[in-house]
Amino acid sequence: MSDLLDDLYQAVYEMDEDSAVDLTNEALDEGMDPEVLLNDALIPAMDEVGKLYEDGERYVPEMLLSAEAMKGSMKILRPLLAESGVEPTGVVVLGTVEGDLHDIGMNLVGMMLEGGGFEVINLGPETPAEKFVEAVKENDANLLGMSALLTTTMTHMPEVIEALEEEGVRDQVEVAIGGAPVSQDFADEIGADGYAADAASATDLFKKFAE
Amino acid sequence: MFLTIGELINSTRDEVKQALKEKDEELIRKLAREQAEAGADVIDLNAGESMEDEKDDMDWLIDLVEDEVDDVRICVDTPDPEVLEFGLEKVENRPVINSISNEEDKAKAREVASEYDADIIGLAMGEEGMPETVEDRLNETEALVKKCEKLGIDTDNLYMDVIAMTIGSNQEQGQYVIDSVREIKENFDVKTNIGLSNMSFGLPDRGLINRTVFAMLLEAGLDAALIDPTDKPMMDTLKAAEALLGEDQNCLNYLKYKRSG
Repeated sequence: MSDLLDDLYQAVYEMDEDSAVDLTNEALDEGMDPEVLLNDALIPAMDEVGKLYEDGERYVPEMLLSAEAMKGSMKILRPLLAESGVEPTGVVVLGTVEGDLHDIGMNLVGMMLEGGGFEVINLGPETPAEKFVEAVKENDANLLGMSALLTTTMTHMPEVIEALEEEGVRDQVEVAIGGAPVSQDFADEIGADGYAADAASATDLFKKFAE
Repeated sequence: MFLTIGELINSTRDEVKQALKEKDEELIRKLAREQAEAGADVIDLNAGESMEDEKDDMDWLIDLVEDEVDDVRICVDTPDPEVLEFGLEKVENRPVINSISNEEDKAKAREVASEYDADIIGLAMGEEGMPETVEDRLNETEALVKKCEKLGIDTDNLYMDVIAMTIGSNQEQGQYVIDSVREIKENFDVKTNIGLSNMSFGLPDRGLINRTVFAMLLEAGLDAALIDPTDKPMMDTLKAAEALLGEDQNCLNYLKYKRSG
């Protein structure tokens, strides 16, 4: 049995989506617990890949492929996990703020969070404040991450926080911000709950929030 | 002639942000001098990071850079039309504007641009956001050319920026920007520009990727680029490519460049 777990771990680690899907089906056929597949194969594999990325041993295209492999497996596992009442680590709404098209960093954060067992609602680039609020309500999210890569767009961040307040959902979510021009000072200034300098620390921050 | 725009005096870079805060004249002077010596034709100045007093900072930067480098051309890089107008009014030599686009909130900037004799960087993007395909970039070019003609801007001064995106997440983007440069030049009476460094995001040895695509873009007809001119291999590529493309008679520029070290 544990051979299958090792193989699934390897499939994600080796960026092989087809194998990840096949092995997931095979493992389920043998009666393995979906939660075990997630916790003992997928999450540790993405965790390791994330570490390699942080150390500069893996690069963006490779991260994307490993994430695809994990996603392929999760597509099969997620409904089964939901059925058996397994909750995700947290529900995160992610987006780049209005007017800002830079979404690579945010997508990396999204991938690493999915790898960490979070449910991620990625709203993509150029997300207006009301879209953030909508997504928080619709998905009953408890975490929100937004990024801005321009000095001209970081000014939209406080608008998102205000919109959350106005709609009465500010207390339901922990808000983290990221992106080149923002800082811990800026996070404090606008009343965000945290700031992360890169994708890896963003993941750690959300994990802390989710505890 | 190719236009090398030195990108280093940009407030999104930490050392420049710091220098603006502390009014560190020496760092700005050094960056201006080094870029000019390395072959920059234009020095880009961006003070956007200081949201409070961008105009004061732009004022300070222009004074310093014009004092440090003789006959320098300045590229006024700002999202604020007021700062843009201020900079264009102030600079001694014919400026470069960075930037206009089809976006609605750029209407004022387009108007300001029409009132000065300047080279203008026009981003190939509009309300729909970043362009994806070659066709997107051609459509944006067509729309911006129309807007410029309406305002009486000589499109010969318009440098369409083809918008570099990382090949790390979309491998077609390299071919797209190269084809865009070629097709924009075939179809419109404009010039082309690129801010290169995005292309290599998330990959090792970014300089190698940047200068390789640079050579390809030059062959396609690229007219200008925002680059770090102190990146010597990058400038080596420019000089070698110009010689290879027959734009350097008897290779004299290349020879002079190599002799100067």
